[in-house]
Amino acid sequence: MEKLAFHTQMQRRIRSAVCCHDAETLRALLDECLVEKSPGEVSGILLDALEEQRLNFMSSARSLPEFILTIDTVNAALEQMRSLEEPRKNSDAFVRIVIGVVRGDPHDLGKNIIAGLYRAYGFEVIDLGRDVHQEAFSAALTTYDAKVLALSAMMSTTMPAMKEIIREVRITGSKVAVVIGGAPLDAEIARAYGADGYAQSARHAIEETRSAISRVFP
Amino acid sequence: MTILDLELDEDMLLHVESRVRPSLWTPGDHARASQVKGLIKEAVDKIGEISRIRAVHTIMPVEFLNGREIHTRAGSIMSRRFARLASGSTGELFVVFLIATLGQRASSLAEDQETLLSRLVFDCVLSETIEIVVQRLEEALHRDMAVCSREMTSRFSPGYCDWPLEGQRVVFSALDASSIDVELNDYCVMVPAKSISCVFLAASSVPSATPCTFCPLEDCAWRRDTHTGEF
Repeated sequence: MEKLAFHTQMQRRIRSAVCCHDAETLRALLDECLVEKSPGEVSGILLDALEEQRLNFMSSARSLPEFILTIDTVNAALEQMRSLEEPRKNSDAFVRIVIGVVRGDPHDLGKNIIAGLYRAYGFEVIDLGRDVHQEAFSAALTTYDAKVLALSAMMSTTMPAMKEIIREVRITGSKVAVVIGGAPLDAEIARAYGADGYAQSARHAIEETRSAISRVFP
Repeated sequence: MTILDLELDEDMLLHVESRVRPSLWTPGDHARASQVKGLIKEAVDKIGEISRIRAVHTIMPVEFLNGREIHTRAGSIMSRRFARLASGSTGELFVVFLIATLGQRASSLAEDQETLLSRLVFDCVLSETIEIVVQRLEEALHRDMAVCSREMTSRFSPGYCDWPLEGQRVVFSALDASSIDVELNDYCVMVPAKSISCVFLAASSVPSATPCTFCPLEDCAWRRDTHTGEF
């Protein structure tokens, strides 16, 4: 009974710290929580709090700056968790994502936001940066044995590189869920390019990625 | 060809700040609103300190015009809507080409930021700054044209409306962009990123400020007022 009360109270306090973007309090709470609970359980509570904020963002109850601040807060807290040996037990842990902006494109703000969001959700992110060539994506997929390839392009002239990258990935037979996003894209182009998912915005990236993973790795 | 070195004045910086705030609005959360406001101020101050704003422009007569292109010695502007705007003009027709940049150092300010929120704020402030710089240049060009009894349209950029991004090559062929340290990569993307390229039509009279007059897409996100050219 006491344990249940502790859990509920801790959940509430962690949710409040995430909601108020109070990284310092959040760190202290995680330390306190880790005395009683395993890192896996603690990260579960943290991710529930993040999910609540994401749903608020999806319903426009939270603005983009607020949600981004939430991602910053959770990532700062997760750094603390990552230093612990026991791995987290949420369903996204162990899923490795290679992410990058395709060649010729220097616009990486959107990609950085999505990479931050993935990290906050516990995915392991290999960020190749911007202006990334096809060979670098292929090499990273092999080296890191990634389950997901997330590609971004912000210009109509750089977008076709995604099609080439996806074709190359399919030819090599790598089993990987490809999710693409960026200003000139839409769901139809994503399908035509052979992607498994289309992340229209930060609002949709997590769901699209999870659903692409479940299609490719049923 | 005219090369300009410009400074961001206090008025421009205040204008940037007031235009960025609504886009980074945090409803009902005063603490966050004040944090974001502080970051916007920090970004504006920093950009004011280190930006090296440079611009280059030139004017060229239109050599020929048809329903789908406006041809100058720099090449053709392939846009049916812009060509239609040109065909409604009277008197000798000219194209003004312009490229402006905040410079490499300012353009990379956002990526130097540690948190995602700072990156977002700095990126928004940088984008708004170059927009306002070009707006000021546009106003100055309008004044210059008025002295020569010419009217001028609002700016029109490659990648917008029906002018493909590849149209950048015409603008870069008209101007020596290297004089202001701007390059076009193989994908028609400008480096530094916080740069704007555009053209204007100038003639004794132009039928409207933008080609939106001839466009049926009433709900287009980029639709502009046909008289003022504002979104």
